[in-house]
Amino acid sequence: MNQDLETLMALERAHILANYTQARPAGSPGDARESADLSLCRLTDHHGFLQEKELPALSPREAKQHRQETRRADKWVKMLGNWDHYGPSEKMRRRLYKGVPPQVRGQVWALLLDIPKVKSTHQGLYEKMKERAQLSCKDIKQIDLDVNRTFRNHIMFQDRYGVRQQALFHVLLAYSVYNPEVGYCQGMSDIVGLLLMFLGEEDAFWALAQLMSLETHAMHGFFAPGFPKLARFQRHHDIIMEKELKGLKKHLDEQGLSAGLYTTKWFLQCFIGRTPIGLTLKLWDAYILDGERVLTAMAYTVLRLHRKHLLKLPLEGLQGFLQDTLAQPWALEDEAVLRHLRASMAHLRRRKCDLPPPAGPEELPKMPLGQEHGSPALTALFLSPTLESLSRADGLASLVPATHTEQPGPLPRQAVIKAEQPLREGRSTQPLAAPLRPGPPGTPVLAQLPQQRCSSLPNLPGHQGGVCRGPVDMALRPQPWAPFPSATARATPVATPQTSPQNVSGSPGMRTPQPRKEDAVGHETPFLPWGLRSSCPCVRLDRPSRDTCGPVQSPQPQGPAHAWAPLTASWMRNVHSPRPLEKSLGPERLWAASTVPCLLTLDFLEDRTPARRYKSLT
Amino acid sequence: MGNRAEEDYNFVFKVVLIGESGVGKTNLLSRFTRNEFKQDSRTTIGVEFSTRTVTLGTAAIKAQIWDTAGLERYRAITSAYYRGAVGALLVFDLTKHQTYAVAERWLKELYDHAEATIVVMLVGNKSDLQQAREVPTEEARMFAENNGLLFLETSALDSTNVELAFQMVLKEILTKVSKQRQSSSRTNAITLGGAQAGQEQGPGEKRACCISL
Repeated sequence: MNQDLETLMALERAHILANYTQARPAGSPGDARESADLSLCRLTDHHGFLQEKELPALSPREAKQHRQETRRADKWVKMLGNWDHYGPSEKMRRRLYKGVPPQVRGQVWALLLDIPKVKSTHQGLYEKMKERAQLSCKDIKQIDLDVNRTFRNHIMFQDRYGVRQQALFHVLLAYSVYNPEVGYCQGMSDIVGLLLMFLGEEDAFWALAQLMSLETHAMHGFFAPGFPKLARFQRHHDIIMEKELKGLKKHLDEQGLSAGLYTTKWFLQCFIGRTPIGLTLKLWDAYILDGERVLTAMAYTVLRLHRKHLLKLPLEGLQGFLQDTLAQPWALEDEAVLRHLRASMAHLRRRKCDLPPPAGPEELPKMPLGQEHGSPALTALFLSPTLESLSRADGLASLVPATHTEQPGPLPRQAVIKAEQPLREGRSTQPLAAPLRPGPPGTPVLAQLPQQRCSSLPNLPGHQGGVCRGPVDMALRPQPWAPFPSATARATPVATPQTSPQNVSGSPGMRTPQPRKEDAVGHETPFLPWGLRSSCPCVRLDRPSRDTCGPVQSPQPQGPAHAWAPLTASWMRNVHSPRPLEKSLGPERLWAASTVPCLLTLDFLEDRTPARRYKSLT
Repeated sequence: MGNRAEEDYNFVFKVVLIGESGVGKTNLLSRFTRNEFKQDSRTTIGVEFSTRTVTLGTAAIKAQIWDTAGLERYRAITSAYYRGAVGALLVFDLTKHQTYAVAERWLKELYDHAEATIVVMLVGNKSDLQQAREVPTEEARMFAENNGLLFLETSALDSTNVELAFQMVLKEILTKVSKQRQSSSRTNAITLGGAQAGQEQGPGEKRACCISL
């Protein structure tokens, strides 16, 4: 029974991964949009969101804003060029609260979150996490489900299994194994989606990691089971309301609208989906700079600004207003809202209630991040999910000899904050728990295990030479399984840890396990056991999908992910070269892409030299 | 939103939508309250709600539908909102057997936090995807019968049975309320938050209230 379950899970995992790793064949939905169809440009708004109706020409006010944005971008470029000087300055803070121009937003976020430094300190770790996640991530189904529901109305994420959806999927997958205490929780996909609008894939991963662990943001507590930080912030929100907006608090209480009903998304996601996207982005600028105090202050600001209106509304009206109406354009300009926000922050600080009491131990990570968790034996099963290996029930048992979880001992460089250590006030870029390098020699490292097994995976298509023993009418015809990206990545010298001089995780003392006898599966033709015919949802690949959405409905791609075409060697080579969206843009599309700032800034971001640690003046 | 000034109602019934993540709870709600189906709907974080007033016979009922996040971790938050609910739609995706297989766990979760008399309907959603069906109608119907639940298959996408599903639940609640009123001269009604809007509407039956069954 357990074996069946594991087999199903492995099949399901392999199917999901295949969808995200296969190259998009010609004629896939993405292609229509990548052609030089300029009408799409008018359907995409300033932030990259698709609009149902063609956008009117810019109003004088919008035109002015655009000009202003360009002027500001020039100033920001100058500041970014001399970040050591401007980074900690009041000038930068003042400019940031006017809104960071989209052209430079990614760079600014990266520098504020110290990403270049973290990335260089932990070189190779993201790739490692990504690979490990593909083998052992427990949340893969949920992540797949939610990637399909994240910013689908944005040009970057509208294409199912498109380049940016792949990035979103992999970042979430990698983070779920990087920080298994949080794993994946709904709400994180929107955050990563927002980050990916402005940052490259690996930067987005580290941005998420920093947001989760920096003292000033500490989102770990927001998403950890039980949502301890959310409860603390909601209690504090009630205290602020009692102190500052007594009348409104009384009204909300009378109507039965508790803070839990309307502040959950405000706090967990810093207002994503609850305010217009332009304002949300500016709030995120502020949030990335100043951290959690922005959440309490903005919650207060929203209610204070709309107090008079809210006082007139009954429960349904209140909920509708806070849930839906506020996400529509506001009468107040974004800049004015940000001015109110800054004033609120100053006001609450004066009143000594800008932040809730310090976090308890339940909000802090208990285990080091980026560590090894799980059973190597079980992982070995997932490394080679050929149908043959999965189908041999006996073989399955031998592949999983003794499922035991390795408990690596404390590591020398372990930097988990002591639970009783209170959070310090003020900004610091020291993570609560620093991402860790692998342990001392002898520590089991899952990622090291697949080394030899995976190198044989690209040969899988050759395994089909045997005689098909499966019934001819079975639901899943015998075909070699699509390899994991890790498999092909490892087959190339660049991605092999041993050959990468900068790979900090390749501990020299690490023992590379010898391949076991069972590893040598693959000499028989794969087939699916009878029992899986009707009960395995993942193998029914020919099912019409609900996944497509967005204004352009195109037929399902007929590539190997969806059809029964065998995986050829030439096709395999394409697995890792999906056509990047940005490169497919012709010159005539570039002006349109400039309205989607991230497209142009992605490359710009990657090579930033590490900046000096940012220090707040406050 | 259902905040129409002309609304005049006799009862407010709180109904919760529960079930696994991705089964279509949010779209069922938007189809019922706004006649909308969003292909690009977002994940529900925590709890949201919407209302719609329907007329059943002579009674105007304000259905206050609470949509909950399906992810297990969110149950820490969402289960608190089951309290006071008089109806529940336990939704599963009939193209994913796993979402049906856990129905029993959802039921337990519901009964742990809500009144035992709550009216529950088992809803198999996405009936438009017949070719991908993994849960046979009869199997689900049997499960519903054995557990004393109402049962219906719906499609929020093409609207099939959505209206009917909510109406059946509301009607069943109304029947229970009427029986209760007949058996007891004293109306066993409690007023919850949000009911004040209707309190000035008149005495007796015209008072809006959430009913405790």
